[in-house]
Amino acid sequence: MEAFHELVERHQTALFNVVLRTVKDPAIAEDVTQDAFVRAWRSLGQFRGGNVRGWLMRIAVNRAYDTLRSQKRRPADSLDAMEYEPRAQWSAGGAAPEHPEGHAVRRELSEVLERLLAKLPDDQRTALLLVDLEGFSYDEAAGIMAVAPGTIKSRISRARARLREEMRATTRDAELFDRFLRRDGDVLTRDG
Amino acid sequence: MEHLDPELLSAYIDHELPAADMAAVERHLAACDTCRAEYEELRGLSTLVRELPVYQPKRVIDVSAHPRGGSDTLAKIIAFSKPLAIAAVLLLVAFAGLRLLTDDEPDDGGDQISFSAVQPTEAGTEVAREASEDQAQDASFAEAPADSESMSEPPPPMGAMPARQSQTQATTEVVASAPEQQEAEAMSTPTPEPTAAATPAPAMEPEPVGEGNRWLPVAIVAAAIVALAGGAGWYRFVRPRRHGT
Repeated sequence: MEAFHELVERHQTALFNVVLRTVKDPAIAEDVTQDAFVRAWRSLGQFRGGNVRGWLMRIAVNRAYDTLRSQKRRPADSLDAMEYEPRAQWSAGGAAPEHPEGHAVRRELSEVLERLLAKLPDDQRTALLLVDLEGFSYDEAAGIMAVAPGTIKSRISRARARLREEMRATTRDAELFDRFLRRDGDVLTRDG
Repeated sequence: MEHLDPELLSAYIDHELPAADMAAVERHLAACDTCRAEYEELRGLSTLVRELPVYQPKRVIDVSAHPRGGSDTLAKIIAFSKPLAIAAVLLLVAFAGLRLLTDDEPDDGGDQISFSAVQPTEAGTEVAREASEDQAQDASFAEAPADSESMSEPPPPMGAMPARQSQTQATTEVVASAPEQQEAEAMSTPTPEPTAAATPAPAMEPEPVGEGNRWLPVAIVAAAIVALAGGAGWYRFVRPRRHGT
């Protein structure tokens, strides 16, 4: 039990954030995450070792999809009403913005991206979140979604193409995006 | 200059290409402004997703109220009860159906009795075959929608394939045994007086209309249903599976 609690502590945030963007409702996301861990606990005897994070995520993604299927209606823009306080994330992954304006652009762009992510087909969004948000490899994401790695590659490519198209569809969003690319351009070049 | 395939560019951004391809893409990007611009936009989007807000769940995850699934034996027994229950229901339906068919047959005399001994068996076999086919279909369809359930467990290992084949073989053997049984019964018919039972002879029994022989095909079909249900249940719930990620 102690070891399982440790698993929960280590992985619940990752599961929750993917589930949240899938079911688009914080309360439902909490239920699904709880349910995923209960199922993991119950089927612990069947786990044969390997990537436990991937195993947990697979359970969570499946439960989220089950919930989507059983939902009568899909709430739109529920993330706007979320009570959750985001943890500071600028230090994770890419470089922090150099000045407040960059910070403000990033924050506004995040809101735009959440909205556009919600419009993606479920499979494309899930693949993108698993790889970009959670850092799974194509192979790991393929195992989680029970598809071939080539399918993951294709879904991510289509997701990005669609996001790019949507981002360019509105003048305001396109301006924000261009400012982000210009301001962070040198950082991206260094990382690339 | 030919431009890069967007999927290739996307995989490059994720470092998911072989080293040689990664190098080739880099060389192209250095020489092609259009692809370079597209790369920067896709890379920017990837960064934005990576740096989305991270939300913390408020509810404390608590699994202590639930039994741990470490006891494979108990879990298997409990999981096995479902297909056994299905098998029991199917048996009841099959028996009820056979009883109805048996009761409907006219009882007009010796020759007629011999026919009635045959027809219910064939009909019963037909009903039971359909039931067993339905059961096989149910077992195979149960794999697909229950995938959401099964995906919470690791995907089947490659070694599980023989189990499915052996189940199919078992099905084939059992179904094949019914007509074989009929043939055996027909062949075992001694014909010391062939003229006496010329017309119904192929179907006549030496001890033709005994209760035991009439229910033997039923018992075989019932055993087939139980075997199918057990096999489906084992394949679905009990078969050891390997984590696939």
